[in-house]
Amino acid sequence: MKLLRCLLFAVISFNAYANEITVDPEGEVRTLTGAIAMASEGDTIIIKPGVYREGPIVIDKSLTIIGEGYPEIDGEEKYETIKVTADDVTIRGIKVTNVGVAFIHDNAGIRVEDARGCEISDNVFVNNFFAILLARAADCTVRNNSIRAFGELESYSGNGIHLWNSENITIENNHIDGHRDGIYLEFSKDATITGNTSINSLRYGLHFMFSNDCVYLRNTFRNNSAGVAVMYTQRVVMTENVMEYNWGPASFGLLLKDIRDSHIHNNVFYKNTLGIYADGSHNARIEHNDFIENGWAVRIWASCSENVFTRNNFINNTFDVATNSTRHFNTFIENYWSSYDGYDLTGDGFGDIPYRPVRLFSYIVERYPTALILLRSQLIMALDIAERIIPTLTPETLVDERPLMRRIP
Amino acid sequence: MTVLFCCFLLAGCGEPKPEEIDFGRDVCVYCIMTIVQPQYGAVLVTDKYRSYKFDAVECMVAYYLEERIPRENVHSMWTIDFENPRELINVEDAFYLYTDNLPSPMGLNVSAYRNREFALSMQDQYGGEIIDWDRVVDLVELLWLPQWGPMYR
Repeated sequence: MKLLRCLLFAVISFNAYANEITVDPEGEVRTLTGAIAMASEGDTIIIKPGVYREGPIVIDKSLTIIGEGYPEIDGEEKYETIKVTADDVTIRGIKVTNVGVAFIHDNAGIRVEDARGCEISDNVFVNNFFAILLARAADCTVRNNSIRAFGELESYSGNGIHLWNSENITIENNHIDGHRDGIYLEFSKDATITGNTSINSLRYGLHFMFSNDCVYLRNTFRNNSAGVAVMYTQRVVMTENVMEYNWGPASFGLLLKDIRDSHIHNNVFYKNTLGIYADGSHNARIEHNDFIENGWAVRIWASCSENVFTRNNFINNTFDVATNSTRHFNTFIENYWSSYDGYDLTGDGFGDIPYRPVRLFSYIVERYPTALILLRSQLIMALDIAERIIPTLTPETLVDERPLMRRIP
Repeated sequence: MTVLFCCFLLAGCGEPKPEEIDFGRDVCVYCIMTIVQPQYGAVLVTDKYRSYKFDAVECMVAYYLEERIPRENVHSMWTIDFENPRELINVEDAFYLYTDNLPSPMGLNVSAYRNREFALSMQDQYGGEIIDWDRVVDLVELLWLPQWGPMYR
C-alpha cells in the first residue's frame, strides 16, 4: 500500500513537471500547431478524435504526442503533414492520411530529420506518398504502425518506411501494404527489422542500398513484385523470414546484388518465381533454409564466389539451381534435394552418389529463355538424364557431394 | 512500285533514337532494379538501334566505362530531365546538379536538367555544384565505381 501511494505520488509529481495540453476540435486548443507553439520541452499533447487540416506541422520541441481514437491528420493530397526536427519526440495513436505526391520533395506522413531518440508507434497511415521517412536520424523506434497506400503505379507511390543516412533504428511489427518499397534503407547502418509484414509492394518488400550491419528477422514478405533486395551492402544477417508468392517475370524472394559477408539462415522461400537470385554475392553462408515450390530455388551468377549452401531443403522446385557459366566458385554441401534419386547403401544418411542440382535444361533456358516451353518434353528429360551421367555443359564443380537422404526438420 | 517501297524502307530508318522508359516495368540492365523514379533514369542507344535502360545516370556510365557494350557500338546516351520527368535529353546537352541533399537512386546524387535556369534554382535550394557531362563520367570513374563497382568484382 505504501509502495502504491509512493508510486501514485511519483506519477502526480511527474505530471506537475510535464504539462499536458489537449487538442480538441471543439475545445480551447483546436490545432496541433497551436498546441506545439504553447508547449514547452517535455510536455505531452493529447489529440482528441477529429479531422485536422492544418497544413505542414513542425514538431521542434521534445514532446509526447498521443492520439485518442486515432485523430486524423489530413494532408489534403497537397503537402507533407508532420516534420519532426527535435530529439526525443514520441508520436503514438494518430492517423495520417492523404499526403501529397511531389516530384522534387519526398513528402511523408511523418518525417524525422536530424533528430535522435524518436518513437513512432501504433499509428495508422492511409494513402500517403511516403508514410514514415527518417533522414539523418538515430536511435529511433518505429513500431506497430499500420501503413497502407493507394498508389497504383509504382512511380507514383513512395516507400512505406524509408531510412536515409540513419543509424541504430528499430523497425518492429509494422504492417505495410502496397507502397513502392515496403521498407527501404539507404546509407543506413545498425538497423534491426523484426516481425514486420510487407505485402503487395509495387517493387520490393524490403530494400537495402548501401546499408551495412543490419539484421532482419521473422518478417513476412508476401505478394510483392519482389520480396527482399539486398544491394551494395555488407554484413547483413537474415533469419527466420518468410518470402512467399513473389511471382512475376522479374520477381524473386531475395536478391543479393553486390554484397558480401552475409548470413542467411532459417528462412522459408515458398512459391516465388526465383527463391534467391545472386549476382555479385561473396562469402554468404546460406543454411537451414527451406526452398519449396519455387520456379528456380537459386539462380547464382558467375559473378558470385565463396558462398556456401548447406543444410537447406530443396523441395519440389521446377529448377533447383541455375547458373550462367560452367565455371563456378561456390559450395553446395549436405543439402536435402527432393529430386535426388540416388540410394544410401552405406546407411550414413547421405546419398552414395553426388547430386548435380543444375539441370542441363536450366542451362539452356538461361541462354534461350523461350526454350522454357519445352520444359515437360520427353527429349529434354532424356537429355537431362544423359547430362547427369556424363556432364558436358553444366558446371562440373557445382555438385553436392553429400546430399542428405532425409529432409531436415 | 519498287521506288515507293524503298522510300518506305528509308523512312523507317534514320538516326537511332532512345526508347522511352516504362517506369514501374523496365529493369535497369546494370543494377537489376525496377526503374521507378521518373525524375531519374537514362538510356544508352547502340548503333544497332537497341536501347539499354538504367535507373540512374551512374548505372549507365558504369555500364559504359566497364565496356559491357564495345565503345564503338555506342551511338548516344540520354538522361531524364529532372524538371520534365520521363523526358529524355542527350547527356551532352544537360546540366547536372551534384549535391548530397538530393539523393539519386544509386547514390551518386546527380540530377540532370535541360534548362540551366531551373538547374540554378535547384542549386539555390539544395546547394552543391553544377557540373557538365565529362565531370559526371569522372565522378563515376573516380568516386562511384571504386566504392560500389570493382570492390566486389
